[in-house]
Amino acid sequence: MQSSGALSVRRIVITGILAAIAILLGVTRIGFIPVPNLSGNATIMHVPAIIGGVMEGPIVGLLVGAIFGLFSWLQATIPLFKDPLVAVLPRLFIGVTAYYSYAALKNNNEYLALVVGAVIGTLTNTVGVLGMAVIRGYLPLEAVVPIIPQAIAELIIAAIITVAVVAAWKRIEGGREGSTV
Amino acid sequence: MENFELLRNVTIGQYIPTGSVIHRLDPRAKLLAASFLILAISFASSILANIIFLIVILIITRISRIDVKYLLRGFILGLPILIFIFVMQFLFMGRAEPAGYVFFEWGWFRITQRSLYIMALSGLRLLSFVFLTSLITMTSTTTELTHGVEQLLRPFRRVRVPSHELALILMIALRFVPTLAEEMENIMKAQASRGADIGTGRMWRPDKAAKAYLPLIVPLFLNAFRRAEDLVWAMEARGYVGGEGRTNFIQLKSRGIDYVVVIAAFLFMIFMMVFPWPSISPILRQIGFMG
Amino acid sequence: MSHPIIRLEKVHFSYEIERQEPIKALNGVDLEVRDGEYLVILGHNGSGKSTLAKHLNALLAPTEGDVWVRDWNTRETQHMRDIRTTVGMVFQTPDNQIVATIVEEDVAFGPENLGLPHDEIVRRVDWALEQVGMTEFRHRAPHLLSGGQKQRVCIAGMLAMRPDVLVLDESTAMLDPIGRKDVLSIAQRLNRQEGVTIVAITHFMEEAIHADRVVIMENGRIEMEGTPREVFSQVERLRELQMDVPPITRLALALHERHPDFPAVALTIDEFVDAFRKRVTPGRTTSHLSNSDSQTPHSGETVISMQDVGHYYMLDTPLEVKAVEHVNIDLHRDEVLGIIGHTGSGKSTIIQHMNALLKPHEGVVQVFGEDTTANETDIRAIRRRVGLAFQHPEIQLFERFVGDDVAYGPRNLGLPKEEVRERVREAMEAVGLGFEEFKDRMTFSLSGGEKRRAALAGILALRPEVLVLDEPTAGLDPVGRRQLLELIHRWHEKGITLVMVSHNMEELAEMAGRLYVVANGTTLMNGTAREIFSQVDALQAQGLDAPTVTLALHRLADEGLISREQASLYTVEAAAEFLGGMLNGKL
Repeated sequence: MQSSGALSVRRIVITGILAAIAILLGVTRIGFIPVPNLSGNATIMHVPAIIGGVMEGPIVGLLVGAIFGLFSWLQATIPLFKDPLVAVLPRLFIGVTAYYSYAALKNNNEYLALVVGAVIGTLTNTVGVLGMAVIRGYLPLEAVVPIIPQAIAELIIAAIITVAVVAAWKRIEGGREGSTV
Repeated sequence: MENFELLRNVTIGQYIPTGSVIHRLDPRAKLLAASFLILAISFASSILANIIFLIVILIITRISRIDVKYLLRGFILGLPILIFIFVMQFLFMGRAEPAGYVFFEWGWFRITQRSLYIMALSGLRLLSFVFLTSLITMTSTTTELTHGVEQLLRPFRRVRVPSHELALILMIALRFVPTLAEEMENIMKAQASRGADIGTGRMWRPDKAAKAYLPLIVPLFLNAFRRAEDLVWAMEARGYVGGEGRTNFIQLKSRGIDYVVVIAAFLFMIFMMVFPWPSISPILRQIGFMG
Repeated sequence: MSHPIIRLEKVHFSYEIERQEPIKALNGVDLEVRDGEYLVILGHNGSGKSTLAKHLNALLAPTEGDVWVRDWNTRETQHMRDIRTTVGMVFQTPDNQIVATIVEEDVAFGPENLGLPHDEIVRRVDWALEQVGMTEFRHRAPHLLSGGQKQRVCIAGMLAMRPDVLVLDESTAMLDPIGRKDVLSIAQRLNRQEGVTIVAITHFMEEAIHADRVVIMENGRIEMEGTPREVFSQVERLRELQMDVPPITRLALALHERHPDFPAVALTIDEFVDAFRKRVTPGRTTSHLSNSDSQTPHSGETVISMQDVGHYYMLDTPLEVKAVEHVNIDLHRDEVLGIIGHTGSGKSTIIQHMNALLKPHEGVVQVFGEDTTANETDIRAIRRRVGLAFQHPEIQLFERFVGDDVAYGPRNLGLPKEEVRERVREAMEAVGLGFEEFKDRMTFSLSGGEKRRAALAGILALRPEVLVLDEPTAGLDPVGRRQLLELIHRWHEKGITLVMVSHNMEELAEMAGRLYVVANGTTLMNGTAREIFSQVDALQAQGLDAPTVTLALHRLADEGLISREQASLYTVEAAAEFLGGMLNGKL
């Protein structure tokens, strides 16, 4: 049974649960994977928005991103994320761009589509947040340079996690045929 | 990964129940007033206006009977990044044009009227936001905010804003954070019992770092999806068919003060936006600071 | 009582699965649910009973045949709301049914969906919370409640819709004994006092004894139907259907076999005691106690010792809570140690000290002679030697293929490929998942029982010397439970020292040589199974129970039919042997 409009019961629930994961990753340390770079961590808090987008479409992706943005704004200790135009606005688009890039490719190769979706979604997050920080005058363009290694790390990490989660849940065929034992 | 237990006690926000007037405001009024304030702060570019915001926020804090030291805690946690921002601005913003008065120049490095202005503005603005977000979470519970969102957006249902659905999503999210946190703790302990050593030490290759995290992240997502499937059944069994025709158990009641607060916040926003704020530089010039 | 409120006519149902043959779950079910009755539907996993449940309130519509709720066919979507308000349903996992962040708001969710006026919602919420005894918790956040309390909230949420029928779809499967008892007594009271028709779906046969009618399902069909007495008297047939006959019924039957005059069926302890009393005169306690404990206490080397251990959560914060204190436990090599205690007793905190997931804040924990708080102690070596399986260990599965998941532990040890393969093979065989058959199977397509075993294989692959199992059979049906207990028994025979945490007394009576009782965060009693189970009163004071057989014998002792000492038997076989001797001695 579906309710009217684009938000079925199923989508409402999935959106809520993915948003819960995004919030959880933000309030615990698990959302920050230690890699060697300036801030010391690569974030994966935006990954639920990507997964919401590729699995359930742009609206779910947008809503998960919105709640992620809202909570990262309320909860963040990093002052940069205290400006809602930096913290919330770019996050709305993570799941949306992830979905459209995934949808464009999924009929060719679903794994590739997931990787591209995750990469584009992550780029949306990184470029969006840093772009807003520059536009809002908090960071000079030069300050973006030391953040690039972290951005690359986040692309790779998001792609690996997205593929692992979505492939396991949707039981996508292809890839390895069996265990490596 | 030696300390697992912090997970179980995750808290969102830091609600401090002092029972003040601010705490007891209708959540809709609180949300509206906060939105006006946020809008005003976001777009005010005058130093003087931003100083006024900071003062207003401190006054509200006072009325909320919340100790300013709680607000400062959030500020201190963010201090390293704030310093990074300042250093970056100090180093590079001098080249931004139009530069205005140039105080100092050495090779490509400059200290200009503009760079100082940007540093002051972003410092003040971020400080306002740090205080304001803390204030919101300290004076309202998440449940309250959820109800506020739903009932505030309800008039917009006619233009297809799914107010109820948005509130329900928010509620489900908040409902499942502690449940998933507990599950996460169990997953971490289970993998540690299998010899996992996650999160200690840095990995040089991000792909290796990601793969080390998969034993935590994959089960977290998959178990959450399974819960979602159950919840769909349960909601349908309870007659859920979407927001149409639903009624509400929680009835928010507005009192006179709620209207006063909303109107005051609105007028304050308008005033701060349209007032011809004097640039601070002429004042500085007057007192002979800029030669 | 006779008018059917729900009718199923030749119902067939198949699950459509992408890229696979549809799976047939229901295979021609005819069933009537009568107004006001208490109906129990039994069956093990995969028998189709949960699929059947979802047909009762139109969550699923039959592929063939019809389901009628009152006069509405469940295919007709325009009656959906009527059907859902007539037939309420509570599911297995309480956590996954609660929508709101406050108890009373969750109870209000159903009435809100029905569009009821505010005053009526308030009235219903008050009434429903009252019915399940949760009024005092109405402003709590659900995650701070116990499993049983959460399930009561879920029942209240359904009751607030004022259904005529309440379907409990395995609603007790995830609960501890206290929670289970609460839910059952609420269901019985609603049935008797409020006239609510109850349809309880379960794999616990004990839950069927108070029913008006019992239906047993197998392969998507109804295999048996009748009153509990009619059904339970066909023990052979039940065994064929792999149903677990309640211990008191088994005891009666075992006595009947030894002494044909004794009735073959007893459903309750009362009934059993009555039947026995009629056939034996008080004071005749001549028979000798046939055997002592089958498992004698071990005196092997101590592998884990916990001395006066205390542990706090959130130490040094305002939220500091003492989780356990003065815990004293010794584990000897080669024994099976049982730990009894219900949820919240501190047992899970205790066992996490055994592989150094937690470290004591007070007292000393020594694992293989090494102090877990000492800096030079190799924690990873301890975790390798002491395996720990949490409740529902299947949540740890993460690899796509079973083989890789089992290999996670050995790979963490940095073992060579051949060695990893060997260990995975050994561990998978030990849990009854054939290596060649299962290693390339998709982890997430396994059945519930297979997932449980795959997860346990992941721990066995570390070749632990000690294995700590927290509620290993929780949530499994009788078949899965039996299989797993047999496997665990085999691991022990191969030389693994076991610690088993459970609140299932029958299980512990069967497996463990020595028992510790944990309550209120401390070790309260310890001794052999017989010593512990003989202290029925002390156990009951802690909200725990002795095995049913022991309880029955204690009732006989209360009536002076046997001595206190004789009442401490706890297995059906031993008790039947002893009581049978008494009955025959009298003849």
